[in-house]
Amino acid sequence: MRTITDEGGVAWTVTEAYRFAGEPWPLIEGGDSVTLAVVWFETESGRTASVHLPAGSLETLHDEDLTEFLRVAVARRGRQP
Amino acid sequence: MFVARHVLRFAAIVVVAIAAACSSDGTSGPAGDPLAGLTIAERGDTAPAPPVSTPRSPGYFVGTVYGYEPGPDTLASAVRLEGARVTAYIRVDGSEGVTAGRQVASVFTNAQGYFQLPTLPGGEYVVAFVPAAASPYQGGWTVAEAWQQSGDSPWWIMLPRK
Repeated sequence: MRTITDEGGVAWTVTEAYRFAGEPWPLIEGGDSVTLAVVWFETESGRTASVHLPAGSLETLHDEDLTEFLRVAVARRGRQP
Repeated sequence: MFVARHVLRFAAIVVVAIAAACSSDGTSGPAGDPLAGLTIAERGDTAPAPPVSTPRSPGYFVGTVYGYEPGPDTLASAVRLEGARVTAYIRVDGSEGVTAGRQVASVFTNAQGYFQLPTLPGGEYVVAFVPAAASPYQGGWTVAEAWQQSGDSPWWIMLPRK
């Protein structure tokens, strides 16, 4: 499983991933669309967060980019607990 | 157990989608309250909470305010909000939950959406983010503790469309 470390030094590990095929979400400009994957991360302390990525991008994203996705996801939807 | 966990996770995703589609969800505060009509905003910082044993000294809050659109969780499709008012209030915990007490500081975001509140006495605050009136994005608020290292981790504030 893939693990990334945020700026606070906390390790987040991918635990589950879902793909939402056939329901593309429009991007704001340009008319392009992308199918989303929802990836769940979890820390050793039990915190979880769901991150929305373009489907298929998990393997190709660099760690720093994936960390940005995680941080934006936390800013948009929070983390649990 | 495994199946139940997946069902719960899927349900959580559905709830998030419904909440995002309902503009009235997640708002808080009675009429006349500075938080009325604002959505609860997460800070998006990765700073750990200060240790309980750490004596509190004055600190400040700093960050960037963005408006966001549905889709991937990326800054690439986020809009930096200029002229958003960022206001800190004393945090008050009452029977109806967290409310905003006395206002202690207020600034506006610059052209890059950046803000920095002045140094505040150590303690708990409510911080509200209100875009310009013509902005298509909804205001939000969060709670935070000012302490000597609170300014070390700039916030990313993501505000949804109205």
